[in-house]
Amino acid sequence: MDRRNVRKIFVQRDYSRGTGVRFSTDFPRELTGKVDETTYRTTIENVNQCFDEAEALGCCNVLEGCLACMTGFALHYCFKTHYERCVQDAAKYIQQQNREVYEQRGIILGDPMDRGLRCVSTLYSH
Amino acid sequence: MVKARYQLIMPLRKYQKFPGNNRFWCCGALMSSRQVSILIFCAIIIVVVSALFFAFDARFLVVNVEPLGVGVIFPVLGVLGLYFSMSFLFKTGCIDSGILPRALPDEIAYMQSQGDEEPAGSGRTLGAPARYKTVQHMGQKVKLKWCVTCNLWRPPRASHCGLCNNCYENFDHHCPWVGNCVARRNYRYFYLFLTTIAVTGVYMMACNITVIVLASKKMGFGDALKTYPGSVIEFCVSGLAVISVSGLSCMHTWLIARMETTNEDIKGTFNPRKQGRTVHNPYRRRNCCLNFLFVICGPFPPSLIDRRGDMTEEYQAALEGDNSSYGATSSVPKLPPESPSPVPPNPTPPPLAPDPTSEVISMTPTASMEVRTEGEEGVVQVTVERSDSSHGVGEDETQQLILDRAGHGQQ
Ligand SMILES: [Zn+2]
Ligand SMILES: [Zn+2]
Repeated sequence: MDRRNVRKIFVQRDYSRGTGVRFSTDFPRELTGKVDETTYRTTIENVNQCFDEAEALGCCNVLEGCLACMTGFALHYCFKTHYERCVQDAAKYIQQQNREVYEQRGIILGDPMDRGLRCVSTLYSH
Repeated sequence: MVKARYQLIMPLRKYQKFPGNNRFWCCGALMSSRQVSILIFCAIIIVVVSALFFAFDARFLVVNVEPLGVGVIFPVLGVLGLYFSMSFLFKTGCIDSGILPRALPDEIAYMQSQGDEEPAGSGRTLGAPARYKTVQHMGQKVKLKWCVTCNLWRPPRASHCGLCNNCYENFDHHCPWVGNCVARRNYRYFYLFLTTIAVTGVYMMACNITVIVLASKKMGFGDALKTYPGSVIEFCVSGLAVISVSGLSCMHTWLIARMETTNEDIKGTFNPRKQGRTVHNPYRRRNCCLNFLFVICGPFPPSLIDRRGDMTEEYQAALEGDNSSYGATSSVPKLPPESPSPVPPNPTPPPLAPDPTSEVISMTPTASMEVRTEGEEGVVQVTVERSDSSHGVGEDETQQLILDRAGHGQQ
């Protein structure tokens, strides 16, 4: 990618469904003509699903929480939390999508963890 | 010279230049606020009382409780109480309690170019006008406030702690007793700490009474008190702890059942009397058991500040407030004309009166005022603290007045 023509946009958080991590699926107009709108939406929606899974009050989280609580939270020193595994899944998914879809179109999506889960930094050349 | 060479071998970590008022321990593995003396005091009290318990009461009970062997349960319970209270105390006080990391320069430039905020005018605070953005949040319209210090739109439920100078996710309150803010990542530890202390305190008092009663049967009440002074001291200290903590523990039990934070309770976010209309709390689950499950055993998010990460140029630039090299990369149109002059990431002078010292700070008569001068940034922070709220200072009690270097000269 030519360094001079690289610009950044930041996909913001979407709080409409709660305080959990979700990113806005609105298609940024800067990417018009570079990538298909549905492809982009699917990617962001899948990233959101990783975080939904992380924040869900499911068996994984509750069991882990109970065990951690009973051991005085010593468990956290031994194992990665469910949340951390989900965050890693999201990062892996984004990398894979970059390789398969976005890089050839001059777009790179960043790991949301790099921005403290505030936004997804998106580089694009124009 | 030595430092420069050291940095060649060991690159700077982010925690070494962290912009908030925090203290880091063990190479950034642990962190707390600046004031940790009360935390250490609490820990010492717990250890001393437990030591007295093991030295006098536990030994006495093991020997004197019939049938022989049953008494072993007493020291075992004591060890559990000590382990849980200490681990919850340090987990509350020494972890990142949910800091929202400050935005980097390129991000700030992008967000200022968006212009999706409301025109200012409403809710003018000290210095710069407050900036708001309304978003849809769980079926309600919620105003997000722009944090001038952290350069981000504060998420719902987040608030800025004036003492730690960070924004916190699900901010509850700043607790000087544990030397940390209580927020999303350590609220469960905090609640469990209060509960454990209350339960352990009651348990120790019960043991003390048992010891004195059993000893009184043998030697009379007066002599029992003289022979076991440790039990008397323990009884008094545990009593004080139980009195001070049980009320707080009950209050937080009530708050969790209603799924509110202390901050929301003080502000009356969901209080119909303070709001003038019925406000539905969207965070509440189907029943209060689920609320407890969510708070105590729910998802535990990782720390977002990457404090052990290596220093990057971008992060360095964000600290220095150097925005020039990044502003150019933003391609989107500039701010619409009706927006007020945006608050730049660098604390350049907000639209102040020509003489900064002529600023009038209005405050309640009961307020105590603390002025602290930050050496590096030339930032004068005026903290107005209500003296009646001994337990923490949220954004609303704290007002920040940021003056630029020119007004005060280089320090
Ligand atoms: Zn802030
Ligand atoms: Zn604080």
